[in-house]
Amino acid sequence: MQAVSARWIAAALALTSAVWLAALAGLLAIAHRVHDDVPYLLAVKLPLLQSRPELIFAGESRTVYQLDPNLAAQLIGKPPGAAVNIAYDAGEPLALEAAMHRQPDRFVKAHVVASVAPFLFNEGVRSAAVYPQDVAARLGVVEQMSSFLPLRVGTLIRFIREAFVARLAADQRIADLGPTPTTSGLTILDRTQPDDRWPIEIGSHPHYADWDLSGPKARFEIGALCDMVALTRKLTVVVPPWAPRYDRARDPAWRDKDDQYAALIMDAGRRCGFDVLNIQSIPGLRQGNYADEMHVNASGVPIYTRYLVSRLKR
Amino acid sequence: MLFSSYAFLFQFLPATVLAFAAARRHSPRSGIMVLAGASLFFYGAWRPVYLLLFIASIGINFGLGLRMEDPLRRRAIGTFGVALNLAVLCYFKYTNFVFDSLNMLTGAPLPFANIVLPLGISFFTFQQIAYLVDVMRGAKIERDIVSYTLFVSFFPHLIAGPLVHHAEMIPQFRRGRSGRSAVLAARGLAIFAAGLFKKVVIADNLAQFVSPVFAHLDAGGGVTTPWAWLATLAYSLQIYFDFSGYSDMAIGLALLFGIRLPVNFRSPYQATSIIEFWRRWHITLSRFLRDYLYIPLGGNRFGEQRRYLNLLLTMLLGGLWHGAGWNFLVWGGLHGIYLCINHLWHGWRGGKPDAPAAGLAVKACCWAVTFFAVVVAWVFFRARTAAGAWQMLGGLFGFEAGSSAYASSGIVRLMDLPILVGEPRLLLIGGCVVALALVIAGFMPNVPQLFRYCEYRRAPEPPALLRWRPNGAWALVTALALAISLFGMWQRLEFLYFQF
Repeated sequence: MQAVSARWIAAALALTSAVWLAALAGLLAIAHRVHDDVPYLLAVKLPLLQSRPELIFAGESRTVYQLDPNLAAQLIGKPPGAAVNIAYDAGEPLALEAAMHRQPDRFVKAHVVASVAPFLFNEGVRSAAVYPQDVAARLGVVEQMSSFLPLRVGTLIRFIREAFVARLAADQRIADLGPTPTTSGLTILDRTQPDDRWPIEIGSHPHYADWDLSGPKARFEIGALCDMVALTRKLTVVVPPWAPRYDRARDPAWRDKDDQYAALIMDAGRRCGFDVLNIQSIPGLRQGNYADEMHVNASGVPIYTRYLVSRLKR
Repeated sequence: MLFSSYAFLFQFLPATVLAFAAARRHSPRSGIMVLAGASLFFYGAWRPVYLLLFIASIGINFGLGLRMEDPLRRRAIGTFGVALNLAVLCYFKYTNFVFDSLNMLTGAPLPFANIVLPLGISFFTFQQIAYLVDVMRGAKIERDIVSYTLFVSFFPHLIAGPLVHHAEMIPQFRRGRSGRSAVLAARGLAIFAAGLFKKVVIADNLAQFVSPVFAHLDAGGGVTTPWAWLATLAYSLQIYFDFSGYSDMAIGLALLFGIRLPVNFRSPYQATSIIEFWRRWHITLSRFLRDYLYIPLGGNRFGEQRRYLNLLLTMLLGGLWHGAGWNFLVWGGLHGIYLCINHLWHGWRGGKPDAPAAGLAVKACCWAVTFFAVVVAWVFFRARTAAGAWQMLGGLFGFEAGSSAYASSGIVRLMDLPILVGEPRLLLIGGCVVALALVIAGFMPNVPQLFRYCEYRRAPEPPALLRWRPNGAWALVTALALAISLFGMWQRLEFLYFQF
């Protein structure tokens, strides 16, 4: 009886794995069917476009937390609403392009300024929190499972969940009918991370881990940037700076990877016709203006906004 | 660390099972030392600072037990120990309730104390009170600190029961290897899978029909009659599947280590009287309240009136044990009244059973009355405010008009994946889900029956038509239950009974 029971436990656990894998494949297939390229986080910001802005700031977290669109509108001599911030955390160019296809008239006369970050192009970054969902949607089920299992199963689970949430946002027509967000899309980071959370160097930062710019991320996201040129009046891609305590000159691993990444975007800009602003530092923006290694705090928002708008005016 | 969390299932549990198996090969005592260490780690993973309180509670009660060897001081020390345990429990659990009540009654601006309720305090305090009372009554004093620590802290029952008794736990720690570890573990794995499925797939999917409605009512809103019934029935089933699922998981986990926990639920919604309901619902709490409250109060030994008073007091305190709030008191009081009525009815019928085998219709009628009474009482248990509870009762019986604004988004969540279905269909889907859950609760054999579970030193459960066996078909059923539950675990919903 002992041996039978031991075999039964082994069989039950083996069957659990098999059933779970089959169910995961099924769920991924369903997620592919329901996926919408415009994620929920972007959809809730799209009502901002009802003001027909001339300047649309988009992209990832370094626009969400750093760019004050009301100040930007003031700096270009326009009323509030002439500039909006539709960026969202880990925002990707593919999603922005999908929004442009959905509402072409809102973008075609606007200057779109999209920030990007290394994790959007580095295939080595596979964590659930930042893997671009629209890139994941362009991989087949088999490719997804072979790429992310077993250690990155969280990325697949996030893909399934986000696919359903994005479909819900599309079915509810949040982008068209949802309430307009307050503060024109800017979110302030009001806390500075504790000293022990600051990375020692950027070269070993997770965004530069297992450096690889030859995967589907770079292919699809660069393709999206190129496609957006025809959908806007003007497209500018921004590479925002890291906190000033980090010195590229003393961190060769960071410098080499960052140069490759900047070159990838600049090369695409030259080919496709968009401007690239590779901002490595901003005069007046000091360490005390940063909430963490990537993002400024409330005190840094006006400095960053003024600098970026001044560069756009040139 | 929840049983239904990835960290528990894929890190803590495998590591503990392997460490236990390795230690057990050395000696049974090594095995229980590993389990005691793992259990303390399990508790500390929640908030390390409260581990100190927990260890202090164990140490003090163990020490008091040792000091009770002297027959002359036994009663005094035991009484002091019980009072100390109750004082600690009252401080953590009832301080704000007392302040709020005084505020309400006198208008005195008493402050709100920012007290975090230590996880499982109601359970480990009651278990230790039972130990001290039994020692006062002459039970054997435990001299082994490791065994005592494991009795109190054994992680499967630590957070939300079952409430275990020292006499059914400690002797199990001393047994040698039985040569049946794989047999018990196989059964344990299957029971755990059943419990996980009940919690993650059934209870957590029912929650969506409950939480928004009660939150809306507690905020002062109204509710339509169909939604009132849907939410109340869904909650009645949610709390059953949530808590009994947790208890099943605890029983299954304990079996992985060769330890048998007491059964906590035996299909309570099949009960045809309130007396029977309390013999099937949270059985270990009922046992505790009977042995350590109802009987010491006098039980039924001092006449009918005193018996009913004791019943009412016991149920009121049982309600208060669940939470510091007037709603819990009302819930306990209602059940006390139900029990009194049931006993009166029983007496009036000359002690005959409530639902004689004679008529299916009579039985169905008894079941319906019992179920209805239990469901109405759950309204007070679930509502956070008295106004919310009354609004819900008004909604149930059509006295209060209400909108269905809380449900107008019309989103059904299948394992937390949102799907837009529209409000009318949402109500229909909710009704079907509740009906299905009610069929499972009302007609399926319960887990102890299905697995012919055998409590410590008790006969196995009577066999059911459907019975688990270690064969291929049941391996597939277990695998399906586990695999589906693993997908549901991304919901991160806590167990309802953790708050108690």
